[in-house]
Amino acid sequence: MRNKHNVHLLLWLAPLAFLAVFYFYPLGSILSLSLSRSEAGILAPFVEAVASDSVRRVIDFTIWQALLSTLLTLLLGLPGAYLLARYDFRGKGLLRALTGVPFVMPTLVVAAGFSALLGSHGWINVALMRLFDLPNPPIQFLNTLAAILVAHVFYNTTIVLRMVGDFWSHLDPRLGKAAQTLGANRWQVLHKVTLPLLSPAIYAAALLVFIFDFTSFGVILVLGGPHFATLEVEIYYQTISLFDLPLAAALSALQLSCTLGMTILYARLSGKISLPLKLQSRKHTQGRLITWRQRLFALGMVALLLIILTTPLLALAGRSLTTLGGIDSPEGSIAPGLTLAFYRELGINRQESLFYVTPLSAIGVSLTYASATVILALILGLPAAWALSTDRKSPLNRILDPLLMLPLGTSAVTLGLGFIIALAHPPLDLRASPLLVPIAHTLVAFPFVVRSLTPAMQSIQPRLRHAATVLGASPRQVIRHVDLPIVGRALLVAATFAFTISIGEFGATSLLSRPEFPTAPVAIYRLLSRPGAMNYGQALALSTILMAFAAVGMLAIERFRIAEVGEF
Amino acid sequence: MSGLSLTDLHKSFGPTQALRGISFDVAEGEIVAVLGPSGCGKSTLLGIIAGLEEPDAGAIFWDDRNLAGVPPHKRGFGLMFQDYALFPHKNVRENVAFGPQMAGWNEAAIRQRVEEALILVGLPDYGERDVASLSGGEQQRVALARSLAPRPRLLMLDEPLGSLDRTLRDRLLVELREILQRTGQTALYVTHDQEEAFSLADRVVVMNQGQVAQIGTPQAVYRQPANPFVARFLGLNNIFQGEVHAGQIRSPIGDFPAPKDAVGTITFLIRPDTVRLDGSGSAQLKGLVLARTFRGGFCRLEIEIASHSLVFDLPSTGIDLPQPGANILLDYDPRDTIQLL
Repeated sequence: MRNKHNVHLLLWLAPLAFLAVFYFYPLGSILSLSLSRSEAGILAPFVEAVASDSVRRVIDFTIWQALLSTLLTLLLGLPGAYLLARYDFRGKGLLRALTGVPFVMPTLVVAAGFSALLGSHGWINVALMRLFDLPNPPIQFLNTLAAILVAHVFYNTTIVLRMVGDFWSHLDPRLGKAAQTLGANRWQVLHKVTLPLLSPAIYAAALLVFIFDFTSFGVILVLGGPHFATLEVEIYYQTISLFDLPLAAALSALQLSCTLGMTILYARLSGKISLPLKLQSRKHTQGRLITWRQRLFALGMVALLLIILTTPLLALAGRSLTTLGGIDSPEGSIAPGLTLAFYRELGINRQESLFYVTPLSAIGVSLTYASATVILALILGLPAAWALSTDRKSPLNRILDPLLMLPLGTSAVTLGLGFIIALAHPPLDLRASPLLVPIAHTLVAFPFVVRSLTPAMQSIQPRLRHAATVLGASPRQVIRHVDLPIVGRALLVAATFAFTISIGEFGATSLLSRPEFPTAPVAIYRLLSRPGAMNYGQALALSTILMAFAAVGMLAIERFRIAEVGEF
Repeated sequence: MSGLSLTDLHKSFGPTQALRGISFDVAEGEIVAVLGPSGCGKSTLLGIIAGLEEPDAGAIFWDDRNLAGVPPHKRGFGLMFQDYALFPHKNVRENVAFGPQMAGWNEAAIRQRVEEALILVGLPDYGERDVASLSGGEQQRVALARSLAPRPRLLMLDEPLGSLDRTLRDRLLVELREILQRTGQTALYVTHDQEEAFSLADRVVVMNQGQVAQIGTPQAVYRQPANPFVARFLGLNNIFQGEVHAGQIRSPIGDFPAPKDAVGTITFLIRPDTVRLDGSGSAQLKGLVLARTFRGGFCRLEIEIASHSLVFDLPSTGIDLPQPGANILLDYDPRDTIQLL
């Protein structure tokens, strides 16, 4: 027993040391910096911050937009969840897969997608201008609250579809029928039976959506424009433009306490989902679309989901390949029609450009960082997953398991700020280290890596090993033929998660990346914030490339996941 | 002897004694069933024979060679797991081919053997299927094919039909017996189900709390259970104690001739199928019918004799059986009285 404990401690050593130095130390530094500002007591800096009008406006807006976004997301997601949960129809698998796409898309890609669809150079405005011969774009979408809300709905509808839909699909439909035979009408069934049963899943999904909206960064920065700032964006401005690190730290501490509180609540709620109900196999809960009403509902819902979830990405890819001549390039250098000019331009370093490097080399930077992230995340994630899989119920594991998940509830900008404050001076001066960005990405990816590896590792202990042994496999052959192939696929999934997260990460990177080594999302942000059709086109082209990487990553994850093993 | 020989195996897990002196043999080509309630140590026994666990004391021999220290993968024993433990990352063919591959067979031999094994279990075209896509019964067959493929000198099966529904179980039981007999496979079959054990095995080892309660052919065990545990486990509950005086048992349910050689206080069993209503018996049991249940070929009567409740099975055709509440006189041949230890 003693011995086993020691092995566990040894396995935990590297991951814990990493978390201590790169998670707890930076966060602690944020806290101590925000406190150092005032001698008037522990809460004084926060009271002071909240008392200032501008900060209060930011806090109010952060909560307001998150609430609105969450409500809208539920409004679209719940009927969609109902459709996916209760009906079986052709193309449902494809629909499910498509609805998963937005979730893995980098924020900058999504922002660029909406810009390509609804921005002043986007499809819809251009079409309207052509049609009605208007001199200016008629729809002002970018830099409005609507843009923020729509992008959030795009992002998070998947969460409601998956979490509520999956739970719903296992609920026994006979419960509703039983209520009907007891005299309840359809609304009473919904109100008294279905919704109460679904409530843990709905609350959990809503809370997760709220957390994501609350800490949203890239979407607000790009689509919201200068008039809108959430806490996250304000922290960024205070750090990057105003250099008021103590205020940024106070805001971070404030946000951190909110998100941590919500994350804990979320963990409680999501624990409930798997608890008390007798869940039914989907075979018994799903029917075909029979009545016209059902078919009409399904058709409308599918159309709505497809429009909201796919048009921005399609618009992005299409727009990156299209030039609109006069409107698009006042210089008239490019003729209207299909073009690869934007892609070609990515590799050219224009003299007048503010870039020291070509946009294309940003892809190279991103890939390098992503590879480093994959290696780091696996080196740290493997021993942690190993320790977790050997004895889930050991007291050590019970304490450490939730600890590993903490980075999931911490905003990326806060992480970045923590790095700037804590790791920019001795004893740990990593300002110039090329590892700074991959380390931040590793923190973000770490929970995902551990969560993909652990179930696979659990599944091979010990019965599959015994089976192989009895069939004549020596211990070495067991490792080669059982452990490695199974964990190997999970490793691939984990690596892809780390890779996809890293190439899309923007929040922490925006604070940490060095000007001469921008990652792809940082380059997209720079291009989008500069005027001119060529910059715009390049932003879209770069976004499309990034989108392709993310989509391939997601496909790979779906493909390599072993059916029996691992769920996320 | 040739085959498996177990001598005085002991195994404890902390304070729990899983095995307390297990000894029995399995001759080559023989099918032996280990029968016992859950928790009696059956699965531990298989783990120890396979070499996955070490016994605390005792030894395992194969053809008189002590297997102590021989690692599991060199014992040449197959083990089919209760939950099958199919490799999720391999398809059906790869699962079945695993054993022969480990044994270093050449490609052609492996291919042929996999095909044979899949035909044997009735899944000839399943080679490229994903194991996750198989039904419970199909997984069971693949597991069987996988454990048969390397031609183990002993095949151990741990409740192989345990998780399947009744009809499927009955069908697979017949097939399993056929496959094992056709291949002349030496097998050790662990189950808690007496029907499975009886219909499959040449000999049955009944286990109770880590000890062997009885060994014998299915017929012998059923006809002459050795002790009250075995009798009750087989569903035979008319068990009483009596005093033997001058060739007569004096018991709570009446006096009748004692079995040969019985002396002092004995425990005895009256089998439910040994009574008749035709006046032919040399002894009579007088009682009150409490309940009557029609069971198809026979009727089960619950009868109260001297405020003890006994169960008897009588043919349901021919005579009209008395209703509950009626008195009944059962003919009984005292030679059918079975003395238990």
